[in-house]
Formats: sequence, structure tokens, C-alpha cells
Amino acid sequence: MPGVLPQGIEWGGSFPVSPDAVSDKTWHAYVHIPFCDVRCGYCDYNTYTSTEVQGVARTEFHQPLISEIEQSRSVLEQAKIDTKPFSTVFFGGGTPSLFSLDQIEALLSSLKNHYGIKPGADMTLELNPDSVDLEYMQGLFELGINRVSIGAQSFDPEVLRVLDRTHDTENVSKAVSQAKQAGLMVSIDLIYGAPGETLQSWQQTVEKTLSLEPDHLSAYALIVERGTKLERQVSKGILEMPDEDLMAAKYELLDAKTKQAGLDWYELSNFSRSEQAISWHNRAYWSSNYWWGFGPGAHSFMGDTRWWNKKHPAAYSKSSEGDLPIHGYEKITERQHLEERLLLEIRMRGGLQKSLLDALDVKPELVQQQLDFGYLEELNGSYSLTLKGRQMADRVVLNLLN
Amino acid sequence: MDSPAPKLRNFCIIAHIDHGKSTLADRMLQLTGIVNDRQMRDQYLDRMDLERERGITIKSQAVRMPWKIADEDYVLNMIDTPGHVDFSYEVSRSLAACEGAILLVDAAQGIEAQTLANLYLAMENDLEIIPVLNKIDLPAAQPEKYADEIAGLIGCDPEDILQVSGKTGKGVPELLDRIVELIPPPTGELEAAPRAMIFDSVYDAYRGVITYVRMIDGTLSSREKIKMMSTDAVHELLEIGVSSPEPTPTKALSAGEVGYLITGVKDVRQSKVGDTVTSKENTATDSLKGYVEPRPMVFSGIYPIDGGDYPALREALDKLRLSDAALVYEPETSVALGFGFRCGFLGLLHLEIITERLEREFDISLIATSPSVVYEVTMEDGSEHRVTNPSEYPVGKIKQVLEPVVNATILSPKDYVGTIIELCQTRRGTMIDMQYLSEDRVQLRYQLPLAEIVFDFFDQLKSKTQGYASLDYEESGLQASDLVKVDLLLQGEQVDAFSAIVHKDKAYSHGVSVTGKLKELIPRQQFEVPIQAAVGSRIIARESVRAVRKDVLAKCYGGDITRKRKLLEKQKEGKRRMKMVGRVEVPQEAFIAALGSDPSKVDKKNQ
Repeated sequence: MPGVLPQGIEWGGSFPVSPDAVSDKTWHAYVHIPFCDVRCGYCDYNTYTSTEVQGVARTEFHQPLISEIEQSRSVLEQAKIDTKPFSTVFFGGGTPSLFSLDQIEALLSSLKNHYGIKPGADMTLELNPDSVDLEYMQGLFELGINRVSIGAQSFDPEVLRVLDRTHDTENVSKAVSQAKQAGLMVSIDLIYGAPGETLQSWQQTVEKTLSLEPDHLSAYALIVERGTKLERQVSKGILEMPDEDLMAAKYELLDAKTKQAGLDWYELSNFSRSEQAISWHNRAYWSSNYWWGFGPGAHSFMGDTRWWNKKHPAAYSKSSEGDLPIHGYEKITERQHLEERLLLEIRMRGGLQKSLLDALDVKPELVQQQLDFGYLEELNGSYSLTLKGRQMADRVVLNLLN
Repeated sequence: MDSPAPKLRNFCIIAHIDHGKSTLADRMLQLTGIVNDRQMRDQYLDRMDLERERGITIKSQAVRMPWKIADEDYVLNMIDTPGHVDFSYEVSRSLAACEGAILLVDAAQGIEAQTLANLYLAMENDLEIIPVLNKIDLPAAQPEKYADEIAGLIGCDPEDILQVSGKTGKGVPELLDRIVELIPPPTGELEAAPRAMIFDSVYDAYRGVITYVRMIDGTLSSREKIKMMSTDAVHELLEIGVSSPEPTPTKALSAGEVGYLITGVKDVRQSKVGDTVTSKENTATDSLKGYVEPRPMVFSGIYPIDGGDYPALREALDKLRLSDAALVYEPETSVALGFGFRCGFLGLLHLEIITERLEREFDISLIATSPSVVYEVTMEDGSEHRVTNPSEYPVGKIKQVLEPVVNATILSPKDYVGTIIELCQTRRGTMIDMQYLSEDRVQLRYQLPLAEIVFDFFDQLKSKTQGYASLDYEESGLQASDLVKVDLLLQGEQVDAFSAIVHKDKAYSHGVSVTGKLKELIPRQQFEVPIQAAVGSRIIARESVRAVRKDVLAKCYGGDITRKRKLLEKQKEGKRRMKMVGRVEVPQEAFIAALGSDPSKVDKKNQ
């Protein structure tokens, strides 16, 4: 999650979601583990590189997370909000693989005891290829984790250096085969468009990645986030951000190569080998299902309310002792919710339902314009982004709301 | 001739912006006791917020202050004058209302070009000049150096120049004494038919127009009917009085005195600066000299970004007009910008003030097209055209084009002379003369086409001289020039708002510069946008904005949604500030920025 929390209403104590919020929505858990060995220059996520943050040790940090799980359960009960067992669980970070198997197990038991987890749920853990071995992977599998997401980012050492990634590219291949051996599905994360990355370099990264035969691939164009080292380097002219035409060329190359390798796009930055390999957890965000984000800085969403936790791990652990560690929240109006749905649903291959466009009062000529530009195409009664349109999704949203 | 008011002294302060005139005035108000410490606020006399923020006095006012020397009571009328070149006519009228002037010079900066111009004007009007160095409390003050410079200019002894600090009040009582001693009392015929000169006219939302006058002859009393001599219009006098400094009604105003009149009229055009006021019953035969109709020098098209704001813009201009006799406008239609108004201004500052007031006080988002001057075009067939808008430049065989020129005075430290000469030459200037004011300060006089000044001459001059040079100019007639119209085409369609009239030899470089700047200013669109500059049907420069290929943030997970929605809301707002020209979205700032010449002022679209 991004490092800067939104401006919202200050958390006042009473839980702002009404019992009416219960619906046919599925229910999802995100657990944020805010530790890394090294901070990468492009990263604005809420993460800390020391093993101890103001008296909170990494090896003990599962405790405050468990407190939040327990608190959340009792708050929901008090508010008379019924929840379902979780359909997905996602351990993100930071570097969740810095947690021991015992810590992961403790968290999973708490989630199971207080909420339950559906059989066959998508259960993912993000890992750094440097901090794992076969034994760890097998341990994860035994705990019920069925997918690991490996942060490879690139196979070009020069690009990794610019991104401040310390791992050895050989370790990625090793981690992939260990994960497969342990019975886990494998997703690989890539970043393209770092300063200095050529089209050839990107092509080699994509080819190398696909040769490892992952089940799933996420590829993100690099975003220069505010407050990062990368931003300072770019603003001082030390690094130069690549031309947007080159970025577009890289995306087109990615799309062609993944298709050849049998991975299909289902969200504009995500590609999957099968229906099963789709990240059902992330899909929940794009489909406006409900989720609780446990951990410092994590966001949650339910009904018409989105809230976010205190960002600093020390502040978070301190307040999770007696109450929910929430920092702020916002109430989402009907109109805002529809606009959020527009900007999320357009990203998925299924595209925009006509009913959503009607609810937003989008003028038919604006839709036609996007079809004419070649950004949208009509498929099975809804509008989906074309290859060209996937690169322009944010503009299309703006155009439709004009 | 005996003075009709021997204990009266009328004076003004000639000073450059920032040389501390308003602060000195504040101290005088306090020392003479008419504003007490509790009522005091900084720059007491500067009424409008805009003035206070910019530190510029736009509207002059008169204040009456008592002062006592050796048990004799005197009355001092201080007439506050505007300090900017755009308002030089108002300055000349305020000077004509006085017998003396304080020449106020910052002891750390020396005299500036506008001050010099106003000083010469005051000397031509036979005003008694009291030279004063201000800000002597500043560590950077060099009173001796600048005293020598002033002494050289007005021919006095450097020892006689008073040194004051408006900030601390040091030297201010001595200055007040000196005003009484040196400035002669007013002259005029007390028994003659009344004649009063209007030196300012201010619109007040509650009271209507407040007219500031200097009585030259006779007496005007309350309840009398008055007559404006330029129009013969007769008004009821509702109130007559003096400012001290808040309006204070009196029974009458007599020769030599300075005060205000309220007649209930709602439009400053009915009470014009420079006009003579007399009595309807006891009408004077001759009006006073020097009345001139305000004449706009610079024109710009003002358009609402949102076409629906057109009626609101009209209403706003109608309102501003009540308080600003120099503002002229008429409806205009632009193919690119829709319905708007062609507005005439005294100069660039005037333009800036009006557009800012429209946006601030009336909350209308505007586009102001690049400023233009007035061209007199004669065709081969003998027909004549007065062109205030480049897009209306006539087509066909042109015999002669006349453009307005100005005489510019530039003061600068001698190190920058070379740079200034170069700048003036690239702006088609002709040097009139150059002289040293002191060892290291030079005065350059140039004749320059006004059109070359209206874009960014002042900014260029300032930046090329690290801010040291100062500029003043006055109209100096018309000259024949070899001019052409350069058009601009977006996607093959001419955009009238971007047309410009330039010298033939500069058409090519102008075309290259404008197309280059628009390439930076116009964001990438969903299609390629060719940008061309043309003289007639001949394309002289071309650029193109490539089609956008990527506009998406790759990552969007649970914690990004709120942020992303807020970004979308911001973008929707940004889109509203874009003007659609055909199918092309053009940002507001492009309309002026593209035709200026300072590349550092062009906002890069990616920033």
C-alpha cells in the first residue's frame, strides 16, 4: 500500500459501519507485514528495515496483528455485523517471508478461529527470493498457503541496481523451482520502465521470466512516487525517466510474449495461465468486495466506509492493545462509489457493464468516442479495453466522466 | 498675488514602488495625530486588497493633516499619487493639484526611471521639490552616494537633502516642517466663479462615485448644483468634505483647498479625471487646461473558459467599469474561444489588475489573449482600418501600416548598458541618447514600438539586469513599419486567438518560437496535433504534438483506491480549465504564454 495515508475523518472510536452493510459481497483478509531487509529506492510502501522499530521486534510483530484480528471480531459483533469466512487471505508487505513459519501459523490460526477461511481459498504470501529456502516453502504449503508471489522485478542487473534490489537473479529461478517443488502456485512480479532500461533488456527479462513457467505474472510500469529516493534522483536529474512511447512499446511486447507463453491478461497489469491462477484476492479489490486489512497503514472497505490504520508500527502496536488501531476513515457517497467502480472495473478483462455506465449517466456519444479512438471494444454486451486502451485506461475513465 | 489660503500647503510624494511612500504616509498620519495608534494599520491609505498585496498604490487620495510651527497652525494636504507607468495621466493630474512635491528615494537603491519621469513632470509644472532619502535605517543604505545623484539631477546641495526613515519615523517631523517652510501656499481667485480640477474619481459601493478635487478658484458649497465642464452635465451636490483621512463633511471648499464631492452618480465616467467642476448658477467661462480622455494603449480578448459564464462576465465588466474610467470593452467573437470581449487597457499592469479582479472578485475563470496594440492600416484602394485584434488584420494589398511608438527611459547601473542596448536593438529600438547620471548610473533613452514592449520587455529587462534597471515610457506617436500577420494552425485549422502582428524580418523566428512553445504547452492528446505557423498561405514553421500512448497507473490495489479516486476528481477539475479548440484541449496559460518570449515562463506540461 502507498506510504502516504489519505486525508479522512479522524477516527473517533465508534465503528462507523452500519449492520445494513452485510450483503452478498465476499469477504477478504489482507495482512501487512511492515519489514524489509533493505528499502528499495522506488518503494513508497509502509515498511521498515530494522529488525526492531521503537521497541517492537519483528519476531514479535505477529502479536499486535493478532490483537487487531481479535479486536475486529468483537467490534463487528458489537455492531451486529455478520461476516462470512474469508474467501482469500493475502500476506503482503514489506517482506512477509521475513516472518517465521511459526509467526505465519499463529496469524492463520487466529484468522481461522475468529472468522474462518473458506476451503480452497486463494492464500498468497509475497516473498523475497533471497530470504527463503525449500523447507520454508514446504512449511508454507503445509500451513495452507497455495501461492507465492515472488518479487523478481527484473533480470537485468543494471536495472536491479537502479531499483536498489539486492537479490541475485539466480535466486529467483531457484525460488521458483523450490516453490513448485513444494506444490505452490507461482506468481512473478516485474517492474518495467526503470531509468536506463532498454527495450532489449526488457525483452530479455520477459523471456527469462516466461521460461520459468510461472502460473501468474504481474508487470507494473514504474511509478515515481512522492517522497522516494527515486523521486529525488529524478528531480535532481541524476536519473531520467524513460519516454512514454518506450513504456508503451514495452507493454505491447509484454502482451505479445505472455500471450505466446499461454498467459492471458485479466487485469491490465496481471496475466494468468488459468482461471484458477488468477489472483482472486486482488480481484476482490477491483470488484468492490469487502476486505479487512490488518496491520499498520492497511486499508479496509465495507459498505460505504473505507478506513485505514495507523501507519507507524509502534503507534499501531500500541493502540491495537485496547481498541482498533484505526487512523482515519471516509464515507463514500453513492456517486463516488460508482466512479470508483468505473475506474476499477475498467481495468479488468470483463470490462464495463452497460448498467454501470447507465447508473453513471455516461453519454452514449462519449462511449462511442472511446470505441472510435480504439480504446474500447464491445464484447458480450459490455465494454472492454483494447490493447491500446489498456495503456490509456485512466484517460478513458476521465473521458467517460466528461 | 495674495494666497486665498496662506496657511495651506498642497503636496504630493513622487516615489518608485517599494521606496516606502505608503510607510512614510503612515508615519505622517500618526505624527499629525489624525490616525491614532489603535486605528493604525499598515499602508493606511491603500484601500483595495489588491493594492495592499502588491504594494502598489493604484488610486490616489487626498488627506488633510494639521501641523503646528511656532504656534502657527497650518494645514497640509497630502495627495497620494499612483506609482506605475500605466497611470501616468492620473499622476499628471495629481501633480497639477499641488504646489510642491516630495521626491522620495530609497537610500539603498537610488532613483528609478518612473520616479525620474514624474520628477521631470513636476519640475515642468513648477512644483517646489523637496528631495528626501528614505530607509536610512537599512544596513545597505548609501545616503551620501544617492544624495550626490539627486543633487546632480535637481541642482541642489547634497547637504540639503533630508534623510528619513518611514519605518522608524526618524526625520519625519523635520520633513513636515520643511513642507510648511518651502512649499508656497496655493494661488487662485477666491472671488471668481468656482473652478475645481478633478484629480481622482473613485467608485464606492455604498456612496456611489467619490470625486476628489482641487479648488482652483472660488467656492463650492454643499447643496449647490454643480456642472461638469466637458459634458455640461449637472449634478446635485449631496456632500462636500475633506479626508482626514476618513471622509469628513464640510460646508464648503474654497480656492486652494483639496477635498471630495459626492453627487450620487454611479459611474466614474460622469466624473472624469482632469475635468473641471463649476457651479450651475455661477458658471465659469473657461475650463482648466490639461483634460485628456483616457486612451487605451493595449488590447486583449477576454473570454470565459466556460461559455456559460459569458453573461456573468458582461455583468462583471459593467460593474468594474463604474470604478475604472479607463477600461473599455466591446463584445467580440472568436472562432477558437467563443463569445467574449475585446478590452482596452492603459497598459499591461492595468490588464493584469482587471483580469485578476474579474477572477477574484467575480469568480470567473478567464482566458486573456496575448496583448495587442492598435494598428492603423491603409489599403491600396484607400480604405483605412483600425486594428485592435490581430485576427482582424485586413487581407489584400496593404499600402501602409502605422504602429504606435513610445519614448522609453531606462535607468541602470553602467555594467548592464551593453545588455540593454542589445535588448532594445532586438526590439526594433532606436537610441535617442545616453547619459551618465552619476559615475555608475546611466540613463538610456530609446524610441521603441509599443508592440515590442507589451509582451515581456519589462520582464526581460529585469532579468537581464538582475532587477537593477528601471523603465518608464510615454507615447510618442505612430510610425510606418513593415508588418505582417502570422497565423497559427492547430490540426490545419487557424486559431484566431494565436494570430500575431510582427515585423516582417521577425516573422520566421516568431513562427518557430510560437510553434515550439505550443508544443511544450499543449499536452499530448489522443491523436497527433500538427502545429503550424503561416504568413498568408505560406507555412513558415511546423511542429507536432505526438499522440499520447500511455495514461494509466499500473498498480491499483486496496490501499490505492481512495487516492486514485481523489486523483480522478482533481483531473476532472483540471480538464475544466482546458479550452477546447476544435478537438484539441488547450490549457489556459497557453494563450498568453505562447506569445511571450521568455522560455523560462513556459510551464512544461510534464511538471
